[in-house]
Amino acid sequence: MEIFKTFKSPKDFLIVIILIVFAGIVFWQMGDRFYHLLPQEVLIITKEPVYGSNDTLSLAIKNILPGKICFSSCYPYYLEIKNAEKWKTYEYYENCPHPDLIESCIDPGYARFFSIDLPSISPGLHRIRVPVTVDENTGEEFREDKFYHSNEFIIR
Amino acid sequence: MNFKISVIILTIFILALFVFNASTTLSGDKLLTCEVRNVPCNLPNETILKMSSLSNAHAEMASQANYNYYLCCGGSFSIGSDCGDNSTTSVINLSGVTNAHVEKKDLGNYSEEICLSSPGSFIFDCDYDTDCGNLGLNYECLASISEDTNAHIGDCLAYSTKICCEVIPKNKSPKADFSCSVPGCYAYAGTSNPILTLKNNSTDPDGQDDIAKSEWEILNGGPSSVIFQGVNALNSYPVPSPQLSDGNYNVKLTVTDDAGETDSKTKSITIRYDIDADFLCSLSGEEGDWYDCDDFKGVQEEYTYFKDISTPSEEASSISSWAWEINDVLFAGNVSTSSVKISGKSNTVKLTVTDNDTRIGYASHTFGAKLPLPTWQEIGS
Repeated sequence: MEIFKTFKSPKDFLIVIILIVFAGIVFWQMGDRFYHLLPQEVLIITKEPVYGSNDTLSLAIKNILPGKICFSSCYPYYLEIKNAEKWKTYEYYENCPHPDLIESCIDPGYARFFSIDLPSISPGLHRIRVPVTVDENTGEEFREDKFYHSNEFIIR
Repeated sequence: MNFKISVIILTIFILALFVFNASTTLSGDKLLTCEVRNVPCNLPNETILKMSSLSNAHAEMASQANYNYYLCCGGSFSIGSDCGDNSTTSVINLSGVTNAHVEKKDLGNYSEEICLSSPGSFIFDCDYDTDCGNLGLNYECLASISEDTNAHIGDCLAYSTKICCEVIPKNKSPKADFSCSVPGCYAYAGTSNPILTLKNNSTDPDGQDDIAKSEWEILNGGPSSVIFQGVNALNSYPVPSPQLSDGNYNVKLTVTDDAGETDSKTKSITIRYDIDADFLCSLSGEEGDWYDCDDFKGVQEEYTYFKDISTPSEEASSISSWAWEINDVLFAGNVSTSSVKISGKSNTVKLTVTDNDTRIGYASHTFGAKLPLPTWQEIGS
């Protein structure tokens, strides 16, 4: 009760409470802003900038998200081509012979490397779109939470 | 010496005779001869009209018996003076049956008509001129007249206006006929293999050169019923079977000669339905999973299945052989269903089928390919 004696009036006490709440709000907003400025990304990078149709492409995927990311067992990636300034996803065979489950995951801060045997595709500017499920476990049903794109590369 | 002179004179005489005959032949024999005489005409000459004298005369019909000057005409053919049928030609008109003045034909003032007629294969052409030779080598002078109308008549020496006639062979109608290049006279719908040509065998008694044009028409050919006329007068007709559907058609040939006379012949031709090649596409080859290949996409590195749905031609009962090609490379033969693993993003599959009537058909479809399911192999972490 001594602390209340430091205030000459209840009005002073109310002002202090308001200041404390205001400062809390300011710090909360600043923290949230700085948190989002931290890199939250999945880096997908091809080894080479140029490939030929039917070549083998090497791909590195690094998870910089706070949670783990997981990939589909049916469609772990899609190839996209740039036509008339628009990205278009190739048409894939739609009949997956097994349930679309989570096949593999990457923990935060880790990277994995894959090789892809490119099919017969048209020359031009391409990229790879990787759909991911966030914070799930291997063997569970895959659902696309987010997707990330690789760098652009050329099929000659 | 006298003998030599005789031989020379005889040779000259023979040559002169030859030249005379040749010139006569070249100038053309007049088929019609006429004269005015004061005795009745001798057969086969025919009395065309009678006149009161050789000049400044009145005229009367040949059937009258008042005048003693006979205009007699004849030739190497039957001739008459009747008017009215198609083979007669008007010569001149009289004001009456006797004691008549004359006028040129077609003036319309006088009603009694004098004609030349021939029931045979000749017709006459008559006109007026100061010299019948101006009208043509074969024109013969019949008489002369003093005016165009209300005129007196005389023999050819009497007046400057001569009545001139020539006899010309009567035109004979052409005879239309044609034959088919293919025994049985058939072709196949939608194709020119084989080409069915209707050969124009038309003839003309006046000579083939007398045929001026030949026109072909498919009477029940719908849009193909347009009249076809080739560049030659005796043109044959390539039947436009690529534009025709199967069925029987009546083709009419009409030939026209230089005189405008025509003849037609109509024959029936048959357009058979041809072998119709086609096939379906599938990713599984299972029942109920077949698609029109034009609406189909394969999958790279996966098998695509093909099923023949061809129908044999009209005279055949079944398809007897198959050949399957993809991008010009044979991948299956003698099977009605085939499959091949496709690798390209665009694929052209061609089916060649033959039926048991040896008709050959082709079908070709180009279809795209989807990408196979995407896979990757982890090579490190």
